[in-house]
Amino acid sequence: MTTHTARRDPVDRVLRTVENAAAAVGLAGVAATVALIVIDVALRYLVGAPLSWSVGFVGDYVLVGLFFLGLSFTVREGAHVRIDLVHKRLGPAGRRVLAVAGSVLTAAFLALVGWGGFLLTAGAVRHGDIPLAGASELSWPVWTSAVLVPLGAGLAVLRVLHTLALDLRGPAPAAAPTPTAEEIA
Amino acid sequence: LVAAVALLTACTPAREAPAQGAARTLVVADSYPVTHPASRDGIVYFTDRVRELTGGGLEVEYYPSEQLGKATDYVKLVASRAVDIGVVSPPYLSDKLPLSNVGDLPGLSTDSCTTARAVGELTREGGLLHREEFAPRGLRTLFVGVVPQYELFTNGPVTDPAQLAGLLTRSPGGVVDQTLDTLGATPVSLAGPEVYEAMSRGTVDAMTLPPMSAVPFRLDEVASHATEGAPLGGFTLTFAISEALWQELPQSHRDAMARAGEETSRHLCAVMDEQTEQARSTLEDGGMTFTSLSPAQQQRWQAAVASVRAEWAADMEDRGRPGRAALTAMQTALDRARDGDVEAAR
Amino acid sequence: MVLAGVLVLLFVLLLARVPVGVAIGVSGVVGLLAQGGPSAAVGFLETTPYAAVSTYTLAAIPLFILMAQLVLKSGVTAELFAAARVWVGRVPAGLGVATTATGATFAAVSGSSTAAAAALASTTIPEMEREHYDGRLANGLVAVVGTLAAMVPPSIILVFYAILAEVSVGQMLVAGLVPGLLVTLTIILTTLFLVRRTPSLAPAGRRYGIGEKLRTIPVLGPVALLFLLVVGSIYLGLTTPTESAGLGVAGALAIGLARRRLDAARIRDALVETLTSTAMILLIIASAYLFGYFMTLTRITGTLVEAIAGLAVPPLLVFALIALVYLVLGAFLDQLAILALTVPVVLPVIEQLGFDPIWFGVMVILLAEIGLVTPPLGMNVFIVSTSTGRPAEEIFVGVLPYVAALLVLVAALAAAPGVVLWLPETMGG
Ligand code: NA
Ligand code: NA
Repeated sequence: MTTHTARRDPVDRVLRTVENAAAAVGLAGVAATVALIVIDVALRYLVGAPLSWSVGFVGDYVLVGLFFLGLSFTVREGAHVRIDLVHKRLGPAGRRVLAVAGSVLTAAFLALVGWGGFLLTAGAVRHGDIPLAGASELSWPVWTSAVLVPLGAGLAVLRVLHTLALDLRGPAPAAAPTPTAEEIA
Repeated sequence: LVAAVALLTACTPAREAPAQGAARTLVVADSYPVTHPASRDGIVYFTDRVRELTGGGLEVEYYPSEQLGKATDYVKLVASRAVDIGVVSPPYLSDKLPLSNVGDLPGLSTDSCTTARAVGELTREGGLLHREEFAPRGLRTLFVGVVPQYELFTNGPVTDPAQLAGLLTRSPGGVVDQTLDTLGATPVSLAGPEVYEAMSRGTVDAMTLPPMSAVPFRLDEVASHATEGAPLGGFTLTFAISEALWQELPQSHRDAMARAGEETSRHLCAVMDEQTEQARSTLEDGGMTFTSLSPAQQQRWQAAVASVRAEWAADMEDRGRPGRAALTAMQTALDRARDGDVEAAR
Repeated sequence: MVLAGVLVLLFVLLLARVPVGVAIGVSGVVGLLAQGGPSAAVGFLETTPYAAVSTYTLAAIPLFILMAQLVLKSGVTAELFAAARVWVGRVPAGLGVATTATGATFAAVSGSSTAAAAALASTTIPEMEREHYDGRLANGLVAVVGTLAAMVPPSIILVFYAILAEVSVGQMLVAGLVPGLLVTLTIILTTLFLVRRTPSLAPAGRRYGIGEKLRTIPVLGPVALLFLLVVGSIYLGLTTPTESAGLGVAGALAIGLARRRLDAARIRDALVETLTSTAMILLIIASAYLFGYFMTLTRITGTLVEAIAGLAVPPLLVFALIALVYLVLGAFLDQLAILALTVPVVLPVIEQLGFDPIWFGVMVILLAEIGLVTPPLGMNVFIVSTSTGRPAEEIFVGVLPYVAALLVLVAALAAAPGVVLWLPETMGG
């Protein structure tokens, strides 16, 4: 993992605190899922009455929370797969151009995703969307899940912009690390 | 990159603005496979008629089978005009179009044409569902389809609603969940393709689904009995166009769509009713027994599900939605639709 | 025209070291903009990322990753290797065979190739070096054995394919079992063949008594139990794959705690790895949907299907060409990206030719795994190289005989698809 340990300015510290908290919330959801599944399977085979809302909860809250709340943390830890074929053969100036271009594009894309999520949330609030309680749904307002998209994507945009500012100002980024176990395939 | 985007955008005329006199091409999308009546006898029938009636002035690119999004996505995709015409199925959208589930409530009607005509009245411009739910989301319905007659599939005959107590029962979702709950069963959410395996392994004891859907999944192999005439509701689907696009269309195109919509609703419901009959005999040929409910038994089922409608309406009112008015309007529309049937029969 | 432009854009972004998920997403948005206009781009941006992520079935991915991480952090690999040495005993290239057996066993509880390669490299290569194994053989072998984790269930990439191809996740996972065993066998036979030809490459193992064999049970027992819990419950249809993955996490945690191999710090590390890996995969999935809707609007799939249906060539020849494309892609691109970009377009062609989508999934993953050890971008080779300090070029040479043998396996499975399909077909009930 590539962490810019040398870079601990105040903005970074604030971002870090928020990211760690968001990541912890996302991971708490995973822990809750394991517990839910164990309880659900046990109830199904012992009592014949599974929990009705676990499917909706895991889909709409755990996965959405894990991904969007964990996004900025992941961007910070540099865990997103990249292809180093060209990068390896470039000098410091070339690498810096690629780093800046990559940050700009990442920020732009995540901002678009966050904007889409904002529209989704605003629509759910405006119309007061809320599912009927049922065999797979929690009767919680839709916006409580949708809002995780703009929050998580927004935080990640701030993180990328911070990295971008450092790259533009500071020395050329260090040589790319060899791909490591971050990649899962 | 900016240059690349500009270049790419420049080299395709976006489909918003058709040249004068040229045919306009609409992007049409749904979640059904092309063999499903909602596709073949619904949207394809509709767009064929529109093409004929406009003399080729409206063309269509059709994307079936969730090619452009999941069943729940189209309500947004049509409103934002990413898609021009898309499927909007209230049973999947209890969060967004809760009142529009009124047609699927148990004990109202078991006949596709009657239900479709009544729901069509409520979703038409000026109708309660149009005013309350479709219009505020920028949608206008073009036609309605109803998959009729949810039935209970079991191993062993079921004639009385009390027999459902404690059964783990597959539910398609929507108001069927509430119905099963009221009847004392435990609804289990399973997608169609998962039902066979769940039933054969005993993960569920019973299944609620329309006979039409039981055939492709070969459920006659995993259940011995089914009810005939249990008032468990049905499944309403609509196809909708964005209101903003509708307003852009010339009057002749709107008239063509309105007429094609009427014709499609009539055609599709006849196919649904016919296929339901066929499905029953196919399943019987496969060894399944349909237990026809006597009038006295019917009455007990009706009494058992009546509270589902009342609770549904009360729940809507709690959310600040006119549930009682919707239920009354649906019942009135159904009465009118039945009278229409009687008159048509004379 | 638009399609060609967007594909070029995607390729340029990937080569410019833009994160894979972002490169696919940006290309998808640009494509939607060009093909459908601003309303399409905004409409899909609003619905797609949320809908793509909020899918219950996907929960199997973080859970399988967490299970593998918990097993890994319990330090099981070294113990498995010690146990495998004892059981392999006095066969030629004993340590090499033991390494393969360790990889296969570890694969049975781990879903990730690269995690497996990293764990194996640090435990097995020093031992092989101590016994004067040829460096190329030892390093190449470990890089190849690491790929087993993706084929033997549980496997993240099998889940990923099943979701893309809209086939049963459970059947897809079970379908990996027989091919996984065949890959194991292929690797062992290749090692034995190499050593028989050049005995100096590796010494034989030594004999162990029955007592020593019995003493490995406390290690092998829990691993076997975990495998049976996860894959058994899927095969028997007792639980959904997502539920099995959840039970697997609970099992791995219980075993790790009971054997006092897990503490708070290790569990925390496992969770952090799970978070970062999952976010990376889900970003690729969400972006792939955006890109996929653009591809749909270009109608390229239908055009391709019609074009290939019009060709008067045998289906197996078409498959061979597709396989070649996958090998080339595998040598350049990340495996998840390959699946995300190609499966929606290629699968309709494959089905049109009369091939089974589950069989095709196994073939594609086998090909993608071969890509993991072929230059220029053989991720597993780089991981082993980082771990042992051997140059990647040397390891690529060591891998060559195994790649050749695996290609023969690909051909065999193409000729006899029943070998892949019979086990999942017994699941139906
Ligand atoms: Na595995
Ligand atoms: Na490769």
